[in-house]
Amino acid sequence: MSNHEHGHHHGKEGTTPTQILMAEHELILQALEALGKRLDRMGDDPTPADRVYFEKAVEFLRGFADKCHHGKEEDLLFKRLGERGFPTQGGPIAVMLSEHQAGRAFIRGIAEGAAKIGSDPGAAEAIRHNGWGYIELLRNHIAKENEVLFPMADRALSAEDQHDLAHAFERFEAQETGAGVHERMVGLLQELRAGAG
Amino acid sequence: MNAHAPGPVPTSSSDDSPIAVLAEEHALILRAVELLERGLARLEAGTSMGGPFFAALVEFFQVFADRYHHGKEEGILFPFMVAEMDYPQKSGPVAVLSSDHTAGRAHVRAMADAAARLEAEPAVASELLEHGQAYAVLLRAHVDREDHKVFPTVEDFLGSDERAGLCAAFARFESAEGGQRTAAHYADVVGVLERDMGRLDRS
Repeated sequence: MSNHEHGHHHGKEGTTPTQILMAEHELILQALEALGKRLDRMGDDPTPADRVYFEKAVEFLRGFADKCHHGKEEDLLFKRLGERGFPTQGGPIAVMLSEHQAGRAFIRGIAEGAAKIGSDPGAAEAIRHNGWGYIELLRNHIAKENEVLFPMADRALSAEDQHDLAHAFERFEAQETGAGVHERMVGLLQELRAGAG
Repeated sequence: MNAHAPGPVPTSSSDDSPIAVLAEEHALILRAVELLERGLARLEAGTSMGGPFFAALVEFFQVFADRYHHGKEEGILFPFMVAEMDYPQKSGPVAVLSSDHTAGRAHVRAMADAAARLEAEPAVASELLEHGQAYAVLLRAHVDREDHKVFPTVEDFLGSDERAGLCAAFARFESAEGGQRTAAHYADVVGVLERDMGRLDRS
């Protein structure tokens, strides 16, 4: 994976906000694939190596999928779409927001399950339930955004809107994610793939 | 962020010595061997040491030590020694080191099986001990042979072109084997196991 796949050409001519978000979707889908493989190889009595793995998965899903990616959608893209007449209390945006919320609950469930490894026989079941719940939710969620919401957004947003948003994404990354966080996330994704099984 | 012990993070890049990369991986492998020995000592003494601890070490030995590290030796370094340094393939150091790998795999498979059954059948502890101890002895002797006998000779032979060629081949292999941060990930795993072991020793 190289840096140019994410985050380093936001302002570049021809890269639209939805293209940036779709590139991030690809990275999230890679993490989901790795997570699924690890869930498949986990036994009923998870090991300390499983604990290390799922803690890293939670760190990536919180730091990248939720904070960096869903943060840009919620604080910037959806807000702008609301200003351009998209309903925010119902319709696709409300569905996307509620799916982000559901995703947070699944991530919390994985984290709680991982913390129980070695002390609670229910750890494996908690991790499986929440892990697969998250994978299924996010895969469907990403498909809906890529195929439905983002094409609608591309049509609704003017060239100026798109230009503004691409720059706002850059500022969001600079402000919301601390120094070294991007590199940490890129490294974590590689580690999730390496340790998947 | 992440509280795991950092540990060494070996990865191949073109300005490294390929031999130094393998030696750094040996350092991580020896930390895992020490954990195995400490876990087996507890098991032998009848102190609580669960199957999941050994299963985590088995994962380390299978994925990092065997696939990632021995994979580079068998796929890249040993063929280089045969083709460029005129070592025989079927006898001598290359044959000995390769047969160590094969013998190790059998022990790790047996440990995996015993670790999975340990909770339900405490009697398999004896199998875990037998194969675990044999594997620890084998791997220590193997690493020692490589670090002190075979690798210095290879290192002396390498010119800068060979060095760069081997490093590039290592980097390609690492990318295909899940990524160049495999070592970083498994260093974290070893760090956590060491922390867990330290806590057990103090309790």
